[in-house]
Amino acid sequence: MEFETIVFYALAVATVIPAFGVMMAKDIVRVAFWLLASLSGVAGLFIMLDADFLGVTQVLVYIGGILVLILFGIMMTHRDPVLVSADDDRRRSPFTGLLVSLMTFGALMGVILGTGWNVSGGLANGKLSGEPTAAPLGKALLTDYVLPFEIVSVLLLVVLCGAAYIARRGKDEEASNA
Amino acid sequence: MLLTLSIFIPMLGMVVVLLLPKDNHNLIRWTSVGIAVATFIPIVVLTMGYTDPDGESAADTLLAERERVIAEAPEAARAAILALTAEGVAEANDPGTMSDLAADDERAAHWSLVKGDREAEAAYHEAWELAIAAQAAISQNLKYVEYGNWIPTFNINYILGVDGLSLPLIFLSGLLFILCFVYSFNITKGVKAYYALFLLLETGLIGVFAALDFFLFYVFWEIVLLPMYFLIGYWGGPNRIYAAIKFFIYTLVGSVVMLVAMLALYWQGGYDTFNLLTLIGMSGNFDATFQMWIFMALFLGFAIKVPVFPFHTWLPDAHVQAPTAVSVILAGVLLKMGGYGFFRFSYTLAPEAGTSEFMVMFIGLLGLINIVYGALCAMAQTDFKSLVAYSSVSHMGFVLLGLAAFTPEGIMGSVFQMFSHGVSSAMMFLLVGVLYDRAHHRDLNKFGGIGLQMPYYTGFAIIGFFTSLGLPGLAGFIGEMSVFMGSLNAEGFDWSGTSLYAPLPRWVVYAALPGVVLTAGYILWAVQRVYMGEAKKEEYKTYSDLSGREVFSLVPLAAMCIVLGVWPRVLIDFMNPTLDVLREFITTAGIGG
Amino acid sequence: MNGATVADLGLVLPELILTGMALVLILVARRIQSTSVPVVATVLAAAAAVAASWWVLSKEPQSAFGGLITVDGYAQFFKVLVAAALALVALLSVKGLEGSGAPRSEYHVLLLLASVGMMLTVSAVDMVTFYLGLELITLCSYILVGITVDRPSSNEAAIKYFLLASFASALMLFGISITYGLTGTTSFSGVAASIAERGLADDPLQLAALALIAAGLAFKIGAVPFHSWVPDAYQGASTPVAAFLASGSKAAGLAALGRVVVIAFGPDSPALSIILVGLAALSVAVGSVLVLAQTDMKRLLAYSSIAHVGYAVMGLTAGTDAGASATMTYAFFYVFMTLGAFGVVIGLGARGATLDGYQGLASQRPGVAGVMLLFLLALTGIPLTSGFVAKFVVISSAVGAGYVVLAVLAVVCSVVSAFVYMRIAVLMYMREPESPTPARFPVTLSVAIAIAAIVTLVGGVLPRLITDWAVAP
Repeated sequence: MEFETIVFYALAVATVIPAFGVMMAKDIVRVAFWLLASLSGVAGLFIMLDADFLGVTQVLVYIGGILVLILFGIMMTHRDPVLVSADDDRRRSPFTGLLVSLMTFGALMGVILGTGWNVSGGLANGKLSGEPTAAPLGKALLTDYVLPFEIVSVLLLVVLCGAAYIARRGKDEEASNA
Repeated sequence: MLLTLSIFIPMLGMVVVLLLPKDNHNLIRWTSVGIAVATFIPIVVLTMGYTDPDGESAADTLLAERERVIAEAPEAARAAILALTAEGVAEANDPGTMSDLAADDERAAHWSLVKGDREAEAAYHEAWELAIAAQAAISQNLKYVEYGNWIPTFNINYILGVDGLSLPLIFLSGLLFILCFVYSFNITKGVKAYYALFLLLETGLIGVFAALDFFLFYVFWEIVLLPMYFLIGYWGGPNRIYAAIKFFIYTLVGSVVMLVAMLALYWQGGYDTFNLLTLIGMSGNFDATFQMWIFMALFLGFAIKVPVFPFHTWLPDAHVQAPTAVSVILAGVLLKMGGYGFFRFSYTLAPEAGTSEFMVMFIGLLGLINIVYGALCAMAQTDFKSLVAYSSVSHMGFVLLGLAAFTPEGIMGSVFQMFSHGVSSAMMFLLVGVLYDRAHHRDLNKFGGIGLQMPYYTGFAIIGFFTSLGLPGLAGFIGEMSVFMGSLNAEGFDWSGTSLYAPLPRWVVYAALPGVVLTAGYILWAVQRVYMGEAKKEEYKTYSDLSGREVFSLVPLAAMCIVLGVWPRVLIDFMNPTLDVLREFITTAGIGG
Repeated sequence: MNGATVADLGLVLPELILTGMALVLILVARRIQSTSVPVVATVLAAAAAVAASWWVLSKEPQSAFGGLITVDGYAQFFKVLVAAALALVALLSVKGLEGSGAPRSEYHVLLLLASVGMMLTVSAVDMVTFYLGLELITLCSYILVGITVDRPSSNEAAIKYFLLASFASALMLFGISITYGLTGTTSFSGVAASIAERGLADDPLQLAALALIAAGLAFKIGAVPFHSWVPDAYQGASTPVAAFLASGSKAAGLAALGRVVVIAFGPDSPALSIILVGLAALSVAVGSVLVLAQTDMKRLLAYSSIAHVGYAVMGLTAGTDAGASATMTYAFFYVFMTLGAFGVVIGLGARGATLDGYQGLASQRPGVAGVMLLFLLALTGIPLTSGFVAKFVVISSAVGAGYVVLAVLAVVCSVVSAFVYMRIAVLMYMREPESPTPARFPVTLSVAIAIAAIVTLVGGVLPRLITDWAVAP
């Protein structure tokens, strides 16, 4: 087995097992830390794929930004950190869901393994090129992909509006309840 | 132009009526009668002029249209279109599809001039369509053809025309609407909406009988549905909503299945047209299986309207609940839409399927069931109106029996029966309505002695019911007689040179004969219970005889019953030329043969 | 890729107008108290966008921004439709949001930006813009569903919608990434070329990707079996939002589906045909049957919208240009008839929310009952209304493609659903009223309903006015 393959599987395990942890853990602080591990694994995968910029962004934004925000949120609010799932009468048996997802997984694995991929760069050459991707990425975003870039900014604007509105509404409700 | 007028005068009239003040009932009533008369005038003109041998023929109109289309086509392609169309018509088996045109060299050369230019292609298609239609028009004896483009994207045209089959039915509709409008003067609830819906109904009905484009026909067919639904559902009896919905859903099922058949015809063979005449012209090219499917799908749509057993269950409900004038139109004209559809669509579009052994037997047996079962049901009714409704089921069975036989007498009897039943059932419903307006019930067992109190009314009743019974000298006899003669003849008829595989066996006709006795039974019994004997209630003795309004509605119908019974050639000579060519076309299965 | 030039901006003028108006509204949001200003602004922007789309339409089809979007007749047709739907929804919102506590400016900003997303989606010819456009619609819709505070179900509906929508987006993104992995390109025509060149049409992975993308899109348009969010979202959302989801959103999703079908994965793909026929048949059948059991008007219209999406997809099953333009026609007419029906529901207020409220309406407000009847007839598909023309063209293309069984199913289902539409007609016309006469409709609402009614009627009598514009990509 080549070195890259070993690294890949190591990273994959480091991504998937914590992902299970995220689902299983009941304490939201633990969830946050499992998430940290899983997201780090993803960052490692990005770097392996020659996408250094994405890898670093993953670390900066998700781990450095969002996760820390979640932790701050937990600390600042006085809520019980243990997640309690609301009782739902209509909850269905987990087996159907499990069966469907396993079947989907199996089908997808089957076809993915049986496919000749149109691969270029990265591991296809047997080694990483090591060239930084930040500059070409930035250039592409502001020339060829300027339209998607602008759409994303509008998207973020909507997110901002929505977040502000929902937050404000919560405050209004509290004010009216008080 | 006159046909268009007679179709759209009622629709314009509807708008006028809607603009009138709501509370001035008499104004609305008289305006509506005026509109109905105004509609009837062009119809009478058409009827008078139809037998004129010098009148313009449908083929001329269509060929003139074709020349216009070619003249308007791009100049470079004109000669090629002309040549291609002529060839397409000369070889009747040529499906005329764009792809097949490149078959031989000469055509390919012509085709290359047309192809690629959308305008020229469209012009070619239309010219070809019109050429085929002109040929088919001759085989249908059509006249007064009107032609226009409606939705060019789907080759949908506005084509109207009438022949000896549809014109009598249009005439009957025009007349019945006038009578109904006058008769309905006693309606006081929602007068404006009532007359507006009735006028819309008239547009739909005349349109159905005049349309020669399948799409246009379908549109009119559905237009009929809605006013009828509201007329039953709003002005009907206690159980009116159930009856209205049942009517609506039954008919809608039939018509949507018809829609699929219509689309299948459009795509079959790549003719890309809804022009009924063109489709009829090409019907010889449809293979047997396809014809069978088409025939069955169309049959379902029309059979529900007729109504044919086992699709008849909506009819008694609708009739019993509907107000009198609505019942008159329902029995007098609406049921004929189904019978007309068999002649104009089912048999001409799928001639081989229609004359196949299976279909002859199938339709013959359904006719038999309709006649006998309808009569038995009628006998069991205690509601006067319900009895008349089941008698319609029974009488429409004769139409089917005549169709199954497919001999000249059978077909003539079948169409004659449609017309005479239109007159007699309309009259019977009016008669029941007259009585109901006074007694406010329709229970046969509670009547009696009406004859003494209302002699004029009873006189009309005798004419109406005996026509229905089939008494010689009255209109009903001619139709039934011809059907029986025609169907008994079927086995001995010379079928050589036709595509009929097996004629209707005699035993079916023998089995249907008791139907006549049963009919006599329930009618005589009903007449005896209602008009003879002692009055069962004191109030019956206070009833006044017919009012002027009622006499006005009954006299024309009674006159027609007698005239058609004594001198049936008025109608027979009118429609026979059409029926002859139609029958010949169907039994020789299409132009291509 | 040729990169983008400044001239490309002219080609996205409709989008720019709407975005600009949204930005202005955000800036002044806190300063305006009047409820009418945002409405007027939105309607003006929508009108300008229609005009701009028309203007762009008169030019030759061309691609913009390095082939990420295209400006052709197909895109402009749907842009006009989206802008028209936006204007009508804005007019409906005046009465529809009364007393709901929803912030007017933010609400209209979200409507505007969602419409921008729709316009981008309908003109996208690249997976990137296609996905981002759809996401913009979904995100705005999610906030719009939850925007009313007076309704406890609103939040629940919003969260349910959000979770399912995210899942669907993830599926679609996965499909897009697999397609990219296989073909090495994201542009629709590039994908098509690569599939043809490398013989990928039967490749199992390609089929899996196709299935994932189709599933994601089916979710967006609410086709069975991805429909479970539709009734809940419509019921939970305020009525104008439900109307917006049923009209513009669906039209954009259908347009995107049409483009994917006709360009990217090719009309010849048998797998795609099976998927589309399955979606159409299931949606028509399930929607038509379940609509019978509804007594809540919004849920009723939701199930009706599921069935209608099925009909619209039927046009695409043919895989021909004629089929695609049948779907365009369907989408166009459906938007107006459903907006009209929602308009009447809004106008009747609390009374319009349930089926019983329509009892005896004809004797109290004949005009309102009349237009409602028109919309119901159109939804049923009765001739001389646009609904018939719409059903006719899609069923015709299904028959033409040989799917006669599907066509029969469709017409039979149209009869089944006729039950429920006719039941409303029965209630309106054949029963005596039990509730007091509803108040007069405000002018804005009446205008919107009148426009919808005119389109429904004219579309039924002279359909060529619309069908002539419905040209497949």
